[in-house]
Amino acid sequence: MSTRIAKVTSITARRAAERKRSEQSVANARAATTLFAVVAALLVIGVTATISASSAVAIDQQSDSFYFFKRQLVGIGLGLIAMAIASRVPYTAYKKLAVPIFTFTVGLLLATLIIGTGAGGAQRWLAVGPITVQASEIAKFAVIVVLAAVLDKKRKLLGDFGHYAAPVVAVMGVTGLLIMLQPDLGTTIVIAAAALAVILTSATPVRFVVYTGMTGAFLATVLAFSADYRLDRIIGFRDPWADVEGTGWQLIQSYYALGSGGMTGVGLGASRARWFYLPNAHTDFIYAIIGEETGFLGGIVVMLLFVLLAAAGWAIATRAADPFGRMVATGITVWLTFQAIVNIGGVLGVLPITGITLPFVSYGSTAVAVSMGAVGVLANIAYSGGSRTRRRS
Amino acid sequence: MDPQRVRMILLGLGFLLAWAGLGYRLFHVQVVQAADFADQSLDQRLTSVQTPPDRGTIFDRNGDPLAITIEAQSIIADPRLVENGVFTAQQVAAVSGGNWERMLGEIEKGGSFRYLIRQLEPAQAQAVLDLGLPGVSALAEPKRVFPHGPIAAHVVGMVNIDGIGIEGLEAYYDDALSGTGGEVIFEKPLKSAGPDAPIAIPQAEIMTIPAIPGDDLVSTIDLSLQNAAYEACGDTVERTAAEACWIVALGVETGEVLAMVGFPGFDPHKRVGLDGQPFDNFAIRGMYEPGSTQKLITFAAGLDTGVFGTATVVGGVADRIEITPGACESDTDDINGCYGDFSPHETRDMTVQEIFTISSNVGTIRAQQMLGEGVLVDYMERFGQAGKTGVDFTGETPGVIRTDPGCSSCLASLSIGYGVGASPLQMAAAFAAIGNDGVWTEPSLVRSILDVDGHETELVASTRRAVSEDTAWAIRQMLLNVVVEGTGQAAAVPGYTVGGKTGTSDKLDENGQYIDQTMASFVGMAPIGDPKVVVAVVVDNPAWEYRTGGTAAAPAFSVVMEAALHSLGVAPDVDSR
Repeated sequence: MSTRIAKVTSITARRAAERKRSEQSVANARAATTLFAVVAALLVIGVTATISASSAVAIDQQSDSFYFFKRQLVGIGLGLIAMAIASRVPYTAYKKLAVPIFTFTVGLLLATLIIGTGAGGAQRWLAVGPITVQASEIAKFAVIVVLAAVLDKKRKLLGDFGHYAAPVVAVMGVTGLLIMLQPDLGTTIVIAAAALAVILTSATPVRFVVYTGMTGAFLATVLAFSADYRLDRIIGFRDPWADVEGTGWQLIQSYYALGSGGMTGVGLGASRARWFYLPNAHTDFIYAIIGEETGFLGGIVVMLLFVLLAAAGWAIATRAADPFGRMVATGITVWLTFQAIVNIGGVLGVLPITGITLPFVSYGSTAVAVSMGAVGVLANIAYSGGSRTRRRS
Repeated sequence: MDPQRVRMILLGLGFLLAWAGLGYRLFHVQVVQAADFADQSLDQRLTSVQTPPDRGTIFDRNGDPLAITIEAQSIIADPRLVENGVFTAQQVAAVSGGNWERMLGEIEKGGSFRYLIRQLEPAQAQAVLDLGLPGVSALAEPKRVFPHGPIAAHVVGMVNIDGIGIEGLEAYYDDALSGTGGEVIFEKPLKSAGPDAPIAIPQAEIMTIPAIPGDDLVSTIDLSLQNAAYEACGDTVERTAAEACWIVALGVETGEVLAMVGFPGFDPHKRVGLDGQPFDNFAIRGMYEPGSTQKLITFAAGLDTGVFGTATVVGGVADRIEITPGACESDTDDINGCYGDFSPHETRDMTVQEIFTISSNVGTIRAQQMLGEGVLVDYMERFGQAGKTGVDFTGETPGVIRTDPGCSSCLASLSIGYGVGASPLQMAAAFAAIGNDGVWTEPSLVRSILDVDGHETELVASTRRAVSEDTAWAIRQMLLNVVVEGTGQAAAVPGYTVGGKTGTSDKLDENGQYIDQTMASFVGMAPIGDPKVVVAVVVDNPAWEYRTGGTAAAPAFSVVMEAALHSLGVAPDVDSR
């Protein structure tokens, strides 16, 4: 009787579980679709804004008002390929490939420091003929994957601080050092935030997570005050009006652009700020151009798209089939979302300007290709969440 | 609950909170503070470019242009971009015809904007640009051109290099001629995106306040008469070896200056006189002692007050009269107190008419003595002396009447045209009052002002009665006599009755002493029955044999008067056959 009941219970439970898994599978597919739709929308907005925001600078520097637009289209093309492949490659493959990927990335970062090119004192790009690669963008993905793989493998040992700290310090130390040598504090902070998210969603005890977070925050503060130009950014952020022509210039011009846009914007292609008033209009400050041209309404739409992207990523992460998938999904989601928040926060003057771009929207072909590839990985985690249960049943 | 799930939820909530904060901040910047930011933003972009108005044209009374503005190009240099100053200056000078050393001086002053040569013809400027010299470019700059050069220059005046009127009608009517500048207000990029990039942000609105062109002036000058007068003055200066000659032709009924010339002329393009002197217009600004032409006023006073008539006999007119006792004993000064006639004659009785005809100083002084106290000066003022005529020209002289208290000889001097300073225009206006049946009319140089819409404003001259119609008629008969049988016979014009008066006065030296140089003049009108034109000719320091008005000035008067009568279409009133 009890066996029978147990059997019935087990059948009921299994059916319920199956139904639940099937529902989850549908939900995951929906999340992936949402993700693609959000990314597509952001790409369209980004490309439209890039044409406008970059045209004046493009004429000035390249004698071709569509120079940046064309390069961005190349990046998006590469991104589409990366996204298509990544959504089909089982994410579990990165568990085995994590160390080679990370090693390769470290190699690229080293090469960037030795033979890289850049502007304004920073050395950020590797040029191979007409192609330029920003290794630090690839590093974002590499760090997430390698940390998730290591923490997954060591999940039984994470209660021991040494076992936890050694790989984290090694990965973050090497990556952080190489990127800070470029130097690029903004990217380092984004990578640290993504890494912290991976750690948070691993089996690591909460107190270790808190130590790590506090250490990261401390290091970021020290680094922020360690270079004059970074200090200027903080001063400019705290009181832009104290030096309108200097440290406050970029933020004030951002305010001017947004204020000119008002509720509904000045119209597509009608930005005034891009006429050399707003520095980095097509990269770090593209959100201000969007706000100027499409107003508060356009700005809110972009924010909602990022919220939607975060929600889809969060849903995929929580329903991931295994801890590695959860960690990678969370890492990617936090990377993209955190970067968006820091970028928009800088444009709106609530966070210091860090020089990082708005994912999918800002000009930057490596960034857009790598981000789209990462979205492909997220999609594969979503699809795997459903397919694995189906294979089991 | 699964601890990892709790962490995920907390993470998600944290991010949601961050997004909510950013959304609020976006609202604050783009909605709450938006207007302030938008205003400040617009302020930093707004800029304006002034657009100069076209300067009005000055026409003669028949529509011939006397001063027009044409397109021209100035060659400018940006010394920062000039590679070789000497080479650049020499090349520009070779093509434009300027002075290369002066251009080099400009380049060496530095800065970012220097004129090398201004207001070239467009083709010439293009030739300079075709040299392709670094730092050299052209700037559109209109140029004022005077098609008739020196002929009307003393009236029309001139503008400075920047096109602002500095002399003559150009100066007097500068406000009307200048118009109102326009402005183009637009949003500018922070910096230029290159030489071919737009100077305004393309999508931004542009506000254009159009320039309002200056008004056109229709002057009173009759160009053909002006030409004739200029030629007559030139001939006179040549014939009499005079220093200068001035002619004013005045419309009797209107006070309009039909011609006003000075010789040597003035080059309004080079802004210097043909004799190297700076701009002056003696006809309006100059003052001379009118001599016998002044007798017109003396006799008009007598006739108008009824003290004497033209036939009144003045008994025992000698050829010398001593007003200040002992004055005639001194040979040094025969005008201040001791007066003589030009030619010696027997002491005899003379009618007023005869005194005027032979221009007897003694007779005139005797006649003047009959006038009541203050009458002569009163009439001088009625005829516009010792006061500006009000002609539309800058720097007009008011003239002067010398009436020192206790001066025993002053009235005698005044009656024959000494001790009084008048401009040629004042004398012409005084004669015109006689021609105009006793009504003095304010002379004018501009008939009407035409604005850009074609609206015409006619200028009205003020008038006042100087003497009665009868007096004017009687004086005209006396003037006629002067030309028919007196000192002004050379002033006759075939086919017309001409009346006028000669004048010869000794010039003063720098110390106020009279010297053996004269101002020889003739002022007259025709036809005498109903005069249409007054012409005044003043010849400055003719050779000794031509020192009188009758010999130096009357012939030029005849030529100009004939031209004026023909130009105005006045029918002959004498059968000259």
